[in-house]
Amino acid sequence: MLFIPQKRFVWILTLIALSITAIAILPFIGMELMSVGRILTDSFHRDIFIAIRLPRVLTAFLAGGGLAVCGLVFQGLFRNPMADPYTLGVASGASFGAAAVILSGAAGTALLGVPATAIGALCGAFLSFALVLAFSGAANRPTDRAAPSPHTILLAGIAVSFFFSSLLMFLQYMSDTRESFHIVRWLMGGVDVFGYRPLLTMLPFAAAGLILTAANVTALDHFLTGEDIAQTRGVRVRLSRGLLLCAASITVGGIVSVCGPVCFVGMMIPHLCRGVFGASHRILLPACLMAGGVFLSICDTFARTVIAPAEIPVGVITALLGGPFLVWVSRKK
Amino acid sequence: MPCVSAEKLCFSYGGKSVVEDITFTVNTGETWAVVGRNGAGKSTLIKCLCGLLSPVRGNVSIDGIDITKMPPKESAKRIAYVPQGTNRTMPPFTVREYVGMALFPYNTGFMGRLSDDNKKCVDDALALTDACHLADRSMNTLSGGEFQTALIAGAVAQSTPFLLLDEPTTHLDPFHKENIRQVIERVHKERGTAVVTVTHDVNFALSTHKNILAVINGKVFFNGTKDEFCVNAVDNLEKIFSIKFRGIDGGKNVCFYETAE
Repeated sequence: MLFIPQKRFVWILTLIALSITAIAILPFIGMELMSVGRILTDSFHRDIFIAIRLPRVLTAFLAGGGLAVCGLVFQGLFRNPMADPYTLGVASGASFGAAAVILSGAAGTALLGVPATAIGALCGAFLSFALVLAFSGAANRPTDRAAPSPHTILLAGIAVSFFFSSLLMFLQYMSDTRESFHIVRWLMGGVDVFGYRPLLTMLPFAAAGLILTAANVTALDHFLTGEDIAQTRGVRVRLSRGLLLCAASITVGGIVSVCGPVCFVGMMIPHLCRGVFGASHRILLPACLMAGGVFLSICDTFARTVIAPAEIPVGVITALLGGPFLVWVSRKK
Repeated sequence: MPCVSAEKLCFSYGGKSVVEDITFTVNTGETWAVVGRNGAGKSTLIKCLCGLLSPVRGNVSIDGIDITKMPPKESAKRIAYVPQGTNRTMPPFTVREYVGMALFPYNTGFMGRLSDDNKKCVDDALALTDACHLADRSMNTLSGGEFQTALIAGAVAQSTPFLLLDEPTTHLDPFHKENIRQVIERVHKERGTAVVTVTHDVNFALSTHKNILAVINGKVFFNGTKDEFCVNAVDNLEKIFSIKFRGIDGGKNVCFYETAE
């Protein structure tokens, strides 16, 4: 896939069309194929369509788009193609939070309609983010106005990630079979939601994160050219980086709390989009949002139909499809 | 008159002193070459001048205002910086996109959208640096000389009265070196931009710049006009680089080359 600036417009239109098609068509596909006529005449099918299938597709779309944008932000900030939404230990922090709630036996409860596991995951995500900032700030050199460097933050992220993974293993070791299975299932990630509550839980986080990202999108462009150029062009490197990290963490926290750690979307989609749209984040941001949304909602449709009436966790599908696909695309280059 | 001045500037990396007590002023419209050996502190000096590094002691001021206390967008409207072109891991921005990004301090559009004025500024910068034919090329497909031109085009689009360049001609062949030299001269003549170039290419330094700041081990060795420097050019160069030099033409347009004797 070669990047041709003049063709970007066509690609964006294609993505918009794909997004609309995905949201409009995918809810009809499921264990049972529905037709428009049946939904209009049969109230049982209408209920399934409106209360189960539509919110599920919308949740998958928002989660996929959000994760792809966060991947884009992290890859840009760290100038590292390996970075993904979970690089900073956000996923392991969230997993630890959710596991702690499951172990405490509060998994079935909810606060203001938000499930306790989601709250636990959210707290874990933010805790890991705060730890990363604290660690990388401590390693900061006083003479360097732009510090801490991306590498410092990346290292802190990996350290925090391992820290929470170990805590999670400890919790799993201490738990009984039922709880352990519950934790493992949560870790696989999935969009098996019912109704609009989960969507509404993550929407404010995703929206806040996306708006904050959009507001700093030019800074993200500058980070790619190197921090020296960025700073001499008037970018407040430290502030912008902090805001972008915060934006991505809020978004990921919100999404992970509902869907669990759905991997690979955040790493793969930005790569594909860069190949098509070039490097400018002004175009990449909406492109990733739509491409990620389309990708995850299609994956989720697979997940709920392939071995119907049973379901596969969508995280399994994304990795199964995504891995070979990414290798294929990079070979083609 | 607007000026950038360093006052008793000191900088050190982890206790190792790199810039020692340098006092130096660049006025509007002047051209300066900062010459010295690798590691003499040239790059560190201009990183301090554009506010990338905060001096350990002393200060750098633009028009009397301490640069480290100036809002980044304000200093970006006054000083543009072109880093060493050796780090060419640039993402696939088109040259036009890259140059357009330089308008960040002026740009208030949503998500970095450029106004018509901004776009004209980009076109002017591309024309002035003779880079129009590169506009739609991707930054990571450019040759060394083209890449350096694109970097300079970006700095020109920033429309600042002061332009700092770090080793703009290192790694370039004579043809591209001459190209860059002409670009710098054009920017200086047509925009009245003050230029400070860090270089260890003595012929480039003396052919393009009216003033010379020579640095040895972080200390100022010579601070004055090129003509003053050329009174004793061979001597000065030998002191700076600790090897023998020989001038070809005794007059003003000297060409120096290193010799083993």
